[in-house]
Amino acid sequence: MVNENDEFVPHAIHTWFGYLKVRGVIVTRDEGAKYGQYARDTQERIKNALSTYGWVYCVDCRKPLFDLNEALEHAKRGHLLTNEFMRDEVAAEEVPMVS
Amino acid sequence: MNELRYILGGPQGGGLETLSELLSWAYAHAGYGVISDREYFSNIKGRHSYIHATVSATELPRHLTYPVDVVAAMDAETVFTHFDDLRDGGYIIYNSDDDNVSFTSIPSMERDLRERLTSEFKELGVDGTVKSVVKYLQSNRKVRAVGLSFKELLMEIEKREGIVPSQASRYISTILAGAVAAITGINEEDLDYSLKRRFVREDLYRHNRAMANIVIEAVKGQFGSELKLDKSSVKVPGVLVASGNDIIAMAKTVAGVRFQAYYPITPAADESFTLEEYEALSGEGSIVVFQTEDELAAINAAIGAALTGARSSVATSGPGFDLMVEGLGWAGQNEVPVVVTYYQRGGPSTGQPTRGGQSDLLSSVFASHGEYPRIVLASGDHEETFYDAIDAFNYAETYQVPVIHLVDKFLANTIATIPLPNLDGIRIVRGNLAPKGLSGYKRFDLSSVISPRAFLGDYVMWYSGDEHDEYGHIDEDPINRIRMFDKRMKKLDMIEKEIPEERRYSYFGSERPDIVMVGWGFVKGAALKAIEELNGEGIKASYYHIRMFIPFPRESITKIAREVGVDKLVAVEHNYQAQASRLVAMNTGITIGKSVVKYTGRPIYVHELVNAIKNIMRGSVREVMSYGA
Repeated sequence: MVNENDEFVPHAIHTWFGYLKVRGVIVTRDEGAKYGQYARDTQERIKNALSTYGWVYCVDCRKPLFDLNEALEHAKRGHLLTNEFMRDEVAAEEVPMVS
Repeated sequence: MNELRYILGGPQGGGLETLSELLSWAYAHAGYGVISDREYFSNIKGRHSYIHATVSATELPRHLTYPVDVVAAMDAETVFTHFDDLRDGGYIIYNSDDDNVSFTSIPSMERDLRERLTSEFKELGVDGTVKSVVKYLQSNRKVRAVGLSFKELLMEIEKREGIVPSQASRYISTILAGAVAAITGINEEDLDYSLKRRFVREDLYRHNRAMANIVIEAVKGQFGSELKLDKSSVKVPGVLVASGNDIIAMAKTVAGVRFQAYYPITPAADESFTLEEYEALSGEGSIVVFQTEDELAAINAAIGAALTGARSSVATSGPGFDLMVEGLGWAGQNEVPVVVTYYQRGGPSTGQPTRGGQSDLLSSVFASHGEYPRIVLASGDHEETFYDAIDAFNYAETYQVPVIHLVDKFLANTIATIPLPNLDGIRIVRGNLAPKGLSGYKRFDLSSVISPRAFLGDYVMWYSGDEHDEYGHIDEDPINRIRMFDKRMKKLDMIEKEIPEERRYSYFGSERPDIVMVGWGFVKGAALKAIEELNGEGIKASYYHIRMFIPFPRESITKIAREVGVDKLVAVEHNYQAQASRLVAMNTGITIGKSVVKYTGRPIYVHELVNAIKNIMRGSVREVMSYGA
């Protein structure tokens, strides 16, 4: 069931899947991209995100973006942008301590 | 088959640790010996990380080698990075959804590797997509490709069982665990043991059990269990499956350590984290684990604790040790029994924080201004390190000196099956302790080299970094200086006399060798396996394993050099200069002129060591090994 207000939150490591917040289910990235919040009203949303957080993250390029034009370029290429990742309790156990 | 080797690769933080544990525990539960090394980048998440393992049906393995029988890939980057590590006829397990991903589109891949792959793929006629690499492996290397759609599997489980979203990467681990289990014939009971142990939450276990079943059924149906290991003939009554970090933490609890100070540093910190799990501030077996603001504070805190009578240690790595050196000198000056567990990593400076090395040997032997006695021991494998860690405290308290216990990242982060330690022969030796009720106690009493040690609070005593008299008061008198200095340094003579030669080294292999490898630390596992392989080719090889650098095993190495000839000795080390061979020269006058070294930060693999030794026998005097992603 499509819910226009749902929001896709990608997994931070396995970016080919993620989580639909409202429905509470795991979906593939392709499915989730339909609900990527930056896919709609792109420019306005990215502008707001950059002014609020200072960054958006390109899931496809695995890189944070700080500039509106650069972020718009990624969006135009169909890249998935996000400001949020799935909470993963596993990651802490999986990553060796590095310092 | 009696030995299985595999690589499990994927993005850091994506479930590799879980995958490795699932498989290691299942094999160990089935009675096989396992060793698995983890190689990872120094960033936190996302970069390519992999586990390289050996499973044996005949021994508890201590070695790693290439090529491998199986590459199990969580992502496309693993396929590109490790396709060449596979033996002909091996198996590649991968995500078929990545078929069209090209190596040029992987942002986390280092430029150097991308450039190497560009030319390699051109030569091989591969277009650089996962699909093309897999096709090449199938056609040219007879590799069997197990392509699984991770998306379909995940969605199937979501539909059938639901997924615990906050632990979603567990399911990816299980896809690969199931596939490896199927191909290598792990039985249901052993895999189930692992799943239950790893996934304590009932729903998580149930989901992952279901995922494993789906994968096993699909893979077995298509490929069978061609790589099934022979029934295990490993005969040990019980094993531990643990990392080097954990083994040392266990040993410290057995040794009666009461205080450990540390500042987090790779690859040492995990030891302290394990000890923290057993922290108890009072009562029998109490242990305090103190995370300080830096390494200067850590060594000084440990010294302070040691003065109170608590068995004390620090765990650190190269950059941390550098900061501790002044404190170590204070311990030397004040005859404080403190143990430094020193995990070597790639240096200098930050160097390669998550990679291994043995380049801190000379630093551990010489670091400090001024002169004072110290003991330096080095462990070659998990079993050795357990007993060495305990000995370190006994030596420290017997001789009232700082002791440096050298290990390395390879040992620290490698998980291995080891026989349950034999605790019967373990003794806690606290050395010469001052009786209660003395009058006029002198902490640095010159009537014996090892002055009776009292703890803070037992008597009034003084400690200072300066030269001091028998009470500990600052004293710059030249005659006192000589007497006090001599007293301290004479400990080296005692240590030399009392620690037996056979404790300082081990010797393996032919008594009449064509070639003798001289090494230390984690070199041991590869060297012992190399002996077998070289013997199989008609070359009588042996390995002289240095276990202590202070005191140095000068008699035995001198004897061997005399008997077999110096020209048959070759230093095998994880550093540029073959540092141990420099210490051989310093201690014996024997110059080992040939070396096989590796300083890429990756472990020495048996196959490259065998090749290097053969090159040495053909006349080469220096071989630099480089295998490993």
